[in-house]
Amino acid sequence: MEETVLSSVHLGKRGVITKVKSGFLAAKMADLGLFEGNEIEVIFKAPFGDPLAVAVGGTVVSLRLEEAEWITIAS
Amino acid sequence: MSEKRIERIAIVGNPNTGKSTIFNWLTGLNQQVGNFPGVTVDRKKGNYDFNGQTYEVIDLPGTYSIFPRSEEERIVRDLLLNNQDSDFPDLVIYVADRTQWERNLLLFTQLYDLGIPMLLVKTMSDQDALWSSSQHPIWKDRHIPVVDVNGRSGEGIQELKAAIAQFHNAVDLRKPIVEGDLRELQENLEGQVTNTQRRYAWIKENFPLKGAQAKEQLFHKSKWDSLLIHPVWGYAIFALVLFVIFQFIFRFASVPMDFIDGWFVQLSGGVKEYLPAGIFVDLIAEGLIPGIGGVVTFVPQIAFLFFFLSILEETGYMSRVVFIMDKLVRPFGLNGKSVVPLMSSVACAIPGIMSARTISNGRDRLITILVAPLMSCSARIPVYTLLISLVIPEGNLLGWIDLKGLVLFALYALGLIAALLMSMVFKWILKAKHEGFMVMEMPSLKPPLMRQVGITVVEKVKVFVLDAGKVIVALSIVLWALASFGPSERLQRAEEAIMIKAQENHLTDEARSEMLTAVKLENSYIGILGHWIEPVIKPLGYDWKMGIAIITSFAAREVFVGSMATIYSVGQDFEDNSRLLDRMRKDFNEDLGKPTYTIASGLSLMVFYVFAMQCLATFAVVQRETTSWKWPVIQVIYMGVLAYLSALITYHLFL
Repeated sequence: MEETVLSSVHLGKRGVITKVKSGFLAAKMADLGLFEGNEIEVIFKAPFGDPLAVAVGGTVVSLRLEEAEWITIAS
Repeated sequence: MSEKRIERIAIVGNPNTGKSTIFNWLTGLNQQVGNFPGVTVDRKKGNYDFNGQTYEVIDLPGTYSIFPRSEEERIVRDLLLNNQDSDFPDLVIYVADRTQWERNLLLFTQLYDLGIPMLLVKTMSDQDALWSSSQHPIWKDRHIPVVDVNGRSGEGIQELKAAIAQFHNAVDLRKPIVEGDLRELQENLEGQVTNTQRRYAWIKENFPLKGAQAKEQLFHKSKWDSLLIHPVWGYAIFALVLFVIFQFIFRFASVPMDFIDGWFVQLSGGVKEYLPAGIFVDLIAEGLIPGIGGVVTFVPQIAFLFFFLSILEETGYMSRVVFIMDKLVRPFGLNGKSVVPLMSSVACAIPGIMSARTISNGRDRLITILVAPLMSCSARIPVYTLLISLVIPEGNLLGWIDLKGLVLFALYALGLIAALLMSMVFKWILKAKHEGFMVMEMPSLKPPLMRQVGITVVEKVKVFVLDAGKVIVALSIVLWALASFGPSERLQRAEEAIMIKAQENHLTDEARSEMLTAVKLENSYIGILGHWIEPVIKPLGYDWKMGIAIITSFAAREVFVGSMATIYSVGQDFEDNSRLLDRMRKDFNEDLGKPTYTIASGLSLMVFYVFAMQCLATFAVVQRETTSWKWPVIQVIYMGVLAYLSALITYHLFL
């Protein structure tokens, strides 16, 4: 198992969230399904690599690179 | 528990679930839009009759969770947690999209545990859902009536109305889905995350995925999206979309606008002709009617723009634009959501500013509103064209760039650059309470519901005419009074002088009356003001006549042309301004010993109109959208200072 911060994950990579830094953003992310144990995939990156879009639970969520730093996934 | 009759209903659900569609199917056009007290979040209320009873419906903003992360969500939380609120519903209609089932049920479970009487509406049930059957016995066990509604066809609405009428409150029988009091978690972020995780676990357990294939579908990547956010095609498509929108607006909005203009001119002429002359009739014919006309002329542009904007919103394309533009505009203090409001402002700042509501970050939204009027709108075109044909010579640059076209392009570019630079300045000045975040859902793409688009257009036009309209009409009457009255002695003397001059020179009646109108304006309070500010605007290369035109065109930029026509005693012809241009060309500035309109003074005036906030309607809309007088006043001042300094520099550069 290899753990990576979401902001540096390659396009098309799928993994399970292992950690979300706690705080306001973590709570917002949890509402949308981004919490520990959920499986996500980076499905799009904007033209300059930021923001990126992940699929989680059938929803596409976009986040800025700095926000993606809050999430760690294992693939 | 005694059975209370259901009278007040609230529609609740995640964003993009078809909530507003259901609201519109229930109430039709029977709705009023206002603001929730103290904030600029739409508060839509309506009503409908069923079996002889009237039901009041409120459409609450889209919400993901009972723990608020935005102003919209805070409103929903405050209302649903306070049963003393006058809007507190007897029944919540919870709308959940079958294609987004898992996420859509989160808020449902929260409201269920809070003991709120609820009825579940499933939308998109005709689509293949990834989660197991929703005809689940669980709804019966938990005493939740379920209705399927098709947002496109309206199928199921009658069943929904019947279900509402027959609703029996069984809140007492509820067993909690997740133990614990949600009210106590309002300040506890970590507790919220744990609670939310447990709710998702419950949803997954009760509505499992339909197998391996369904699981693969969760990560489905739409072909359309790959195109719309492509590094090349994405921007090309966005440019094309804007091109089509502007083509439509400039080609088709001008027809009804000219018609409305003409109609109000005729109306005001008719009033003057058929009613006895006097100050009251003048007030109606020259103050009130043109004031209302000034509101109504904006309607076609606002309607056209909102037609397109709501299609972009409805289809989900808007969030793709946000996605590809966010990084590009962030250095300027804007975010991806500012892009469409700013681009709309190239047609007209009013719908641009009104559509800034979608920017959830308060500071970014304010910055967008403050800089939007710097984008060159269509009302500047008559001013630009008049001045360009007046002072810019025919000719080419490098043999193929038309000089007049180049100047026009430069004026547009100048507006855009100023808007971006001013955003940076405001970003630096306005400190944010907390930096904005852009964690947001990208709703799946779908064809627009034209009924929904139509209702949005009507609603936005209504808001503009009724809310901003009042301020516009009141201020235009003030401007009219200043332009029609002056110290009586001074006016009388000036008029007598004209009469004598007319007799001596054997002038025609028409020429005499044109001169009289000019002299009246010159000696009105606005005229006096124009003379009075002459020393201030002299360094820009202007004289008192331009002073008058600048003051009168605070009503709207295009008034500049009409005021000039009055001052130079030529009736305004709408086809071309050849008589006016002729007079203006011959005008000689005795003080400077050269023509009044040179390249330097002409360009200086154009630059002034790029920056100055000469638009009552924008002022009124900014007042409404910021719910304060402070911001529109600051906007007028900063744009005025910017206009003055830039015009000063321009004048001296080209002198």
